[in-house]
Amino acid sequence: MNATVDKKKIHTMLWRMIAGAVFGAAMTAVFLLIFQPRMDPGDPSHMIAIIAGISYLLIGLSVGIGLVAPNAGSRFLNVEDADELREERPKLRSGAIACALIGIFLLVLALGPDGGLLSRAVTFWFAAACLAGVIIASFMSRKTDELTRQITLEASAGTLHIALVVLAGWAALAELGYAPLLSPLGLVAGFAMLELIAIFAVSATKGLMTPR
Amino acid sequence: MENRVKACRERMGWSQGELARRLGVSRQTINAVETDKYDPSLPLALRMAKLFAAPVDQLFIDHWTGEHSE
Repeated sequence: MNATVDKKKIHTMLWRMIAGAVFGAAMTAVFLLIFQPRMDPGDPSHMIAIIAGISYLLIGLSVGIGLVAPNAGSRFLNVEDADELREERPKLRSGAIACALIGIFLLVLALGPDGGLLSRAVTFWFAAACLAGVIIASFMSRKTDELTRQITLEASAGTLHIALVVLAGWAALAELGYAPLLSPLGLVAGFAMLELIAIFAVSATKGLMTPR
Repeated sequence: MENRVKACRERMGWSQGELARRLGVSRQTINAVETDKYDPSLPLALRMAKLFAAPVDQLFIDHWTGEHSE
């Protein structure tokens, strides 16, 4: 591979990352502008859940759009060509559904009753349906490829180690009154966010983020 | 770990997708192995060796000489 191709690939990777970050930040800002006035400023849980929820929803949607329109998807997803998306459709479809449902689950719980979006009962059934969907989608994609399985294993182990350190620090600060208490939603959203970061970190260390 | 998967695949006239299909893995896995980004599991390495009719140690080259080797 020559230097020109390398440079082009790095540019593509940077543009994808910047576009994803800008779009994610813009969506988060819109959500916060609409819902922040109704949130408890002393509780960071909702904020964490919104950021994690939007991240998961956007990833799920972008993979889903890529699967529906593989020619367009091959331009913004890190695949070799549109055929790869068609070949991997069954596996990616359940992953995209699970990802989007995790995002909706977090957003619904963060914005439901407290954000004035849904009633408590509707939020409960909505969240339960999302959770059931995630379990079904995960069950459908249990026959994953060994590279995906390896990345998931390494990312999950990393998430647990980082979470223990982060939670230990946070617990110490909260116990001493230097940090706010985190609700169960904040805890789940924090874990989901750490898992996402760990997956990207593991993929990057294996060189899998480089455009192909 | 260095490997000769790409050379073997090309010798057979297969695309990455074709090799992936024969091995029951994704094209991304084949790409990652060929570009030395991922070392396959032992079962996958053995299957590759069987498919290419080549010994594993000729397909995957480990330059380790052994700390106490004489």
